[in-house]
Amino acid sequence: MPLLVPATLIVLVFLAAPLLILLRYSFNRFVPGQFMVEAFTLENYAKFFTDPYYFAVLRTTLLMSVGVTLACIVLAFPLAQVIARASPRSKPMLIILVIVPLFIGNAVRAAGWMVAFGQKGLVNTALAGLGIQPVTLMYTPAAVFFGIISVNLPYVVLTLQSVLEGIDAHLGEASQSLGAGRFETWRLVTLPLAMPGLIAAAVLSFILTMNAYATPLLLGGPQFQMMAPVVATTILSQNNWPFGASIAFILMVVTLCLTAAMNLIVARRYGR
Amino acid sequence: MATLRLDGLGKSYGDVTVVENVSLDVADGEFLVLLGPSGCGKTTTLRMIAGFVEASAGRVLIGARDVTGEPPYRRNIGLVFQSYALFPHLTVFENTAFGLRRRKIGEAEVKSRVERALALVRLDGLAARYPKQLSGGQQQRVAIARALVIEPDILLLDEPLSNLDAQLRIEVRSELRRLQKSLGITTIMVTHDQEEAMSVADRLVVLQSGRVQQVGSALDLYLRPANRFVAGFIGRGNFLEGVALEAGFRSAQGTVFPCGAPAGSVGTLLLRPEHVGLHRQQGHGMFAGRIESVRFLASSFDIAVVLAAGDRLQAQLPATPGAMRENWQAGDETFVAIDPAAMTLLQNDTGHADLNSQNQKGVSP
Repeated sequence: MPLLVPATLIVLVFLAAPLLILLRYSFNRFVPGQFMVEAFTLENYAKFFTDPYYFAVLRTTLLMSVGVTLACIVLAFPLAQVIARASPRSKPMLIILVIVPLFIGNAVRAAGWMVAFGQKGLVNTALAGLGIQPVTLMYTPAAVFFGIISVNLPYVVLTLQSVLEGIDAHLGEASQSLGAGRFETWRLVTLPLAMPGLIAAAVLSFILTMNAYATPLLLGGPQFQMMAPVVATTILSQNNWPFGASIAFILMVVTLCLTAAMNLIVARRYGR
Repeated sequence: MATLRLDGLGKSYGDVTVVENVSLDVADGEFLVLLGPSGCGKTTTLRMIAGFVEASAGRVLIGARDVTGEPPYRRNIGLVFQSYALFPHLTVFENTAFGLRRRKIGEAEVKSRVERALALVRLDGLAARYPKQLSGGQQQRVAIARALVIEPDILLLDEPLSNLDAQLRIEVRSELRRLQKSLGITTIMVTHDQEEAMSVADRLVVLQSGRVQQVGSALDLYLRPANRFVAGFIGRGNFLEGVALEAGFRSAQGTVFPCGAPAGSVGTLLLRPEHVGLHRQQGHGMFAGRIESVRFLASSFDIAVVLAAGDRLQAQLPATPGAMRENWQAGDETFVAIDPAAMTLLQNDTGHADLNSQNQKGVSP
């Protein structure tokens, strides 16, 4: 038990305490020029839900998170299955290949894409060389979408792979011997048994996207807004701590609620 | 229910040949066991019949139907795995109904057939349980019910008893045998356990290094083993190298055994330990020797004897009251009697080089 003390302290001091302080801030009043005035008001929260601009930011963030998560699961599942069934010799190599992108930070990667996909970037230079009109790749929702997918994909692949690996390969063979085709076997045996891992992977991808900062900021451009960058701008550029804190809390609560709901629905659908 | 024919079946991975030219005809309703040590190709053969391993050569025919190129789910085969492979997320009922539902059978019929199958393996009443709530033996019976309920043409059993403890194994295998006979279903079982194989099989196929060594009933293989490998795998044996002369078989040590083999052939003499008799008094045709060691194994005594010329033989005496009174001790003088009819000469030209390198120490397990 004494061994738990340092971790508990770190969580209390560096996570719980700042959160509580931020929660308190979110009820303060923002008076331009005076920084922050002690108060106990819900007007910051009210502002978020009544101002169509901020509500649209939340909607964009949610759509992006759901879309990215679905795309990640669909893209990652076959790859995870291949890795899970790979021979003991090739498996470590495949896993390393999946992990390698994690060595590069999101910001560095996004910056690289700016170079590659900009109006005068690598891709458009190449296209121009072939006599093709330049295409707009940067600062579009699609750029953010694919950017976040590539950030999340390794996590999703590894989570799914570890669960798929635990499924006895004979189960699939038993299913086939009983007359189920490959897809039917996947749908009736593999998918239900992989469901716990699938939920975990989806939750991970959803949370990562809800809170994505560097990728939307660098690839989305000024027109495209998601929650985390808005929190940062509100606090850092506008110095509006109370409103920034309230946006942060709305983001946190929405993420928590949807994650819990997803867990419940899937758990009920697939049982134990 | 159908016949099964394997026609020159082979499997190689690159240069490595795992199964070579296996041809077998299995009669309708026959219980055939593929027997051999691990790595002999028996499981690969079974998986080629099931369709999970693509044959590199040859054909698999179920009845008149060539299924060599068919995927497993179109072969109508029942398969029971060593690990049972029950679907953990489905109840016993749904596990058993799985194959019927794939065949688009009406719910009422599914229900009655599943109930019948579960009654057959004496699991009625446990239909609502999940596999993890069952004992190993019960799980095995669900696996059997699940494979049988689809009325497969062929039932394949892959080491089905290996995960059960010794007591249960004997129980389940006699049940399996009874079930197989009453349903008259053509069955192929894979095992490395000779006793298990002999207790259920109509015919056994002994495999070694991917090749069929011999096919026959347990008694055939015991009495007329085709080579030393089969002799050592079905029952135990003393193996003496030597040459057949006019007077009989002369071992390398110089003992002459009066077996009626054609003179001049070089080979190995097989003497079953249970056919080696020990006596206190010299008699006609006996060999003088000395007891080297005695082990008591409840139902028998395992006794090592060294003959005057130096040949070492294992004798197995049933633990009768007479044998108890005899009370053989290491160091005792003894006279060894062997019925010449129980001496089998194995020609050396049959097996592979690696067969001859095994069992040099006389007795194989």
